[in-house]
Amino acid sequence: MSSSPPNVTELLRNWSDGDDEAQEKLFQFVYNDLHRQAARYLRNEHPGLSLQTTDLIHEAYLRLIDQQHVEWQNRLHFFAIAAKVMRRILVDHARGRQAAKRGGSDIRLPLDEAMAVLPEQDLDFVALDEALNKLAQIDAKQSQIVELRFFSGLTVEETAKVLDVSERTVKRDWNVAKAWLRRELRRGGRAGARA
Amino acid sequence: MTPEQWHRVKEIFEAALGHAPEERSAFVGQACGGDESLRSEVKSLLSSYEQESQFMETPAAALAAQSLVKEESAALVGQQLGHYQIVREIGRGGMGVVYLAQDITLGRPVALKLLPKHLTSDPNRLRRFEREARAASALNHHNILTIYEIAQLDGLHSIATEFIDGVTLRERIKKKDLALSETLNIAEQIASALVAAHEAGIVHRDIKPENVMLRRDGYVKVLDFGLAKLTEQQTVKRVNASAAVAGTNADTGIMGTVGYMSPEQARGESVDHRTDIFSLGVVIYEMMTGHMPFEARNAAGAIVPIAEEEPPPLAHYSPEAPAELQLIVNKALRQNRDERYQTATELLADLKSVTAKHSAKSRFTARRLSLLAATLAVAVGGLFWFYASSRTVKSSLPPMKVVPFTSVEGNEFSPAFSPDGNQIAFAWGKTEKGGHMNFDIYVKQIRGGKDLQITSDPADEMEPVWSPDGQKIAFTRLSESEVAIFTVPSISGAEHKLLSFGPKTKWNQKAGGLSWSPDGKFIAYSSKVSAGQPYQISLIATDSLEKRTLTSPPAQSTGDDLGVFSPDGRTLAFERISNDGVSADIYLQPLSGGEPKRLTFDNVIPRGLAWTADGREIVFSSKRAGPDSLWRISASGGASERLALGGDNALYPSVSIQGHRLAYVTMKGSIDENIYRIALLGSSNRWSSPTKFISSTQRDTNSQFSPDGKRIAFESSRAGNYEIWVSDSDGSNPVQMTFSDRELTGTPRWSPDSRQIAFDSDREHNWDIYITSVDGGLPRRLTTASSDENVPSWSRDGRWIYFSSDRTGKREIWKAPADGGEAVQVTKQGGFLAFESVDGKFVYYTKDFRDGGQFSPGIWRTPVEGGEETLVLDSFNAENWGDWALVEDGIYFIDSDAKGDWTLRFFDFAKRSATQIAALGQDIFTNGLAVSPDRRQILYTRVDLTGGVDIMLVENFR
Repeated sequence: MSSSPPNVTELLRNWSDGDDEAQEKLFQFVYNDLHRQAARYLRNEHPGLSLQTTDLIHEAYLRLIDQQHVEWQNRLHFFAIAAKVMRRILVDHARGRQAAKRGGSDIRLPLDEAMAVLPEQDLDFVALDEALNKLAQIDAKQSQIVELRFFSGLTVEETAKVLDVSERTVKRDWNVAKAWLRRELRRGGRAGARA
Repeated sequence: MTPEQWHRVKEIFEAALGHAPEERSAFVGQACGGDESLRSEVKSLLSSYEQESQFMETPAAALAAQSLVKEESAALVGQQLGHYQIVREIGRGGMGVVYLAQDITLGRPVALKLLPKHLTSDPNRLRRFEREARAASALNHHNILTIYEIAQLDGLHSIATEFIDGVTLRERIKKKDLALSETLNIAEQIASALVAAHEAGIVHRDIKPENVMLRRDGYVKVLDFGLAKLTEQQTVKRVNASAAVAGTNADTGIMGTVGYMSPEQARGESVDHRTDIFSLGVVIYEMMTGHMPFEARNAAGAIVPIAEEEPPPLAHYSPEAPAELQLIVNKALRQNRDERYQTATELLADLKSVTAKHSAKSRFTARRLSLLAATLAVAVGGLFWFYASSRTVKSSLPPMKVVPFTSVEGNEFSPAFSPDGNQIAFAWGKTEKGGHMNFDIYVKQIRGGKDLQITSDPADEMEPVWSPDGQKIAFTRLSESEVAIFTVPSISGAEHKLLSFGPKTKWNQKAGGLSWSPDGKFIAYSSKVSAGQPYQISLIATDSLEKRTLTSPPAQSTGDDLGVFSPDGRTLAFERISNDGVSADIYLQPLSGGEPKRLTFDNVIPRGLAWTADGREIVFSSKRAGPDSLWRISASGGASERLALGGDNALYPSVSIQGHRLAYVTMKGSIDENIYRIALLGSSNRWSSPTKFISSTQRDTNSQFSPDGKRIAFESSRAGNYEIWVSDSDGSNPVQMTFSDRELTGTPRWSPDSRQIAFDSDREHNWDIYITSVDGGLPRRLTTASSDENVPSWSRDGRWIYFSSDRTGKREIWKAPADGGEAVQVTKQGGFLAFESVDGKFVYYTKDFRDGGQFSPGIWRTPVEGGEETLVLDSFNAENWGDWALVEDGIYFIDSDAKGDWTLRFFDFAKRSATQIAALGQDIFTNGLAVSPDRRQILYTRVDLTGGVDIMLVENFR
């Protein structure tokens, strides 16, 4: 890792210009930032359960981007990146937890018990991730809609703008995607409960 | 699937969503034309959509946040906060995370709720909350969670409460198998909590299934009285801002709160106690139907409350919902609080009236009834109707109601109605000195009044029956010298022996099954003529004493018993028991002669049978479908139908001749182990008589004094499973030390410094030895082998734990370092329970089974460092392996004397002989003998079978 933070604005611009490496760097950077920020957010200052994804991402955006030098299109790109980042964070987290469960260490046991008493079972992010990859093969745009709506917490309107499609399309694809994913998760035998 | 096909799927799917759910299928069929694969894909997606419309509706990060917070909270486990040691998390919600913790100073488990910072940051709100919580902590009611302490611990606001071993009502509702009786019972207990709180001026404000705990023993506890103050403003704000999309509580991610709010609460107006009545109405509705009364789905599929509309009737979801309950729910859910129940007391009374009517449907209720019966009996000592008159229930027929008829100490059996239906004769067994239970006949008025004792012989009198004119009562008397049938005036007086069957012998154990013919001329009875013959039912003429045999059971069978005349006197119903003594069925024998007709084909022994007054049916108790319950069957045959009475614990029914009353026997907690104490009297050498010392309605056993004499550890099933409990040296302040979901944890043994307890448990599905600190924390597992390890005890220096293990294939005593490490074998020729001698030089022990399945008798010893074993006390019956205690100069032990009576004795090492300390009669003992360090107190465990049998009365039976 370089000691000085990369210029996110520049990375975004490069990415818009087709620089794939810029996208990867951007991803890493946003990932680290969001993860750190989320942890701080959750542990210290706010009730964890009322955290809003968009707050988090907007905040990251404001901090990371030199606003005067970024265009609207880039901002939307940022959201697209952030959605992927959130997805990665959550899936990694879920993987880690599953691994811990399999390990079955004593320290982890209370956590499992705690999860067992939660009124609602967690969504299986790992299974969702796999299903979403499958959906992307059928309909890439639709899987992006899911990323933005679910992982970035964007509204239908915002999602429509980012992807440059009609709101109606977003609504429709979102509904169908949810039904499809739900079915996939169920078929996979995993409990993908209400989220 | 091609992108084109997928596009088509999406289009039809979207269009289908524009149709009402019930029309979608038809629409899809039409839209897909003949394309079957397209149709099935869309339909499958629609079904997925409809099933789970909330799926993925909460943004991922909020879910992630929950995960992170959970991990955060897991980090607290094992830590100490103030004087609490956090054991594990047991729940969470918008009001914070709840942990099981051990109060280190008081040595008791608590539920410790840590309030989230965002709720406690506003000092004004916090003060208001604290005031409220302190008021709530003064509430003392068995359905309200006891608050121990409200404190700030390391900067975190916390509430320590009683720890409840159970599940939330939310979890219970999710199982979707709540029976009506259980629903009523839970609702009543919540209402009862509200009555107490409202009387104290405390409004809950947040009654919902998450705030109701169901304890394993059936008690319902309402949590968080007054705590809603903390969230109140927030909640109101949220509802106002997003009334249309609420439903899911955004703070907690948990369904609730909004849906349970009264309309005035949702509007942010000031609330009074009637808001709780509304919320309870919602909870009852949900328990009955699995749905919230005010819910609907908006276009996006989110559940939204629509408080303005009438909720669908209960029967819409739950066809068996009684109409009365519908009325109750309606009244509780009125939008205008002035139209609701004005007090929880009224609501409770109405619930109870429904319960009384439907009381028979579950064991749960039966248990409540007997609980209630016991309470009432203590309070008033008379006959009591807990049935509360109903204002809302309209019914042409008065409801059946079940009331306890007897609820006194002892066992009450064999209820028999007097011909006028206003009295019941019964056999009442009371425990006499020496532990023997003696049965006598009593008569008791249904409308109250003093019990009339009819017999007082030291022999047992059983099975009273009335003469049709009500003048006499016939009964059987059973003593060693004679088995006989007597009659006696029903107002008591001179007894008259009707028939003797000679002395009680191995084969002549009883005569019984009495029934008086409606014309008064005969008494039917069941007896055995000679050894090897089955029981037969005979008739004896009450005037000439002429006898004739009525039934001829198969030679190999146990025989016929429980003959009961039909009201017209033409038929005798009886049970015929096969040779195994367990399978039996009901038969009908015409008095005019001929072969009996078999009525039931259950191969299950009926425990009591009675004719209905019209002679058309027979009511009987049977385990034919689970526990003992009441059934009816037509006398002309057919299927048996379960009576909606008596629950899972109803035996020996009797019906009054008028037919409107039915009595039955209920047996509760037939085995109750209690810890008894004898103590040296003053400075004398005499011991007190035994007194009950540590007791509950569950089993308490295996007590041990701590070496410092300050505390007593024992094993108790009072929380459901057997777990280790610790009380003060006077038996007070029992505190649960161990928690597991397994059945068996026990044999507590104190370390020499009185700070740790070793015990055995199958908590990890294998019998192992554990050590727990008295100051709290999780137990440490000492043994890890896959073999069975149990009955631990400490070496006197505290460095070793002795235990029994079958790791060699044979049970031997082993010892392992108390800090963990390799175990060493101590005995070579069998060993089970060990104690080290006070000087630390020998191990004393009992042995396990011999090859023949019998326990090897005797107490043995071997040097600690190994060597020959020696028999110390040869007479000890090792079946009672726990009934001995080693002291410096001898052994206290319980053993039976030549007559078979139990005695507590002391074996003196020096004199090599035993002296008696106390005679314990014929009581039944289970393991656990403890001697206090000063040797002035001795504790042992006795099985109390008494107090278990009561007679219940059903009014308005039909």
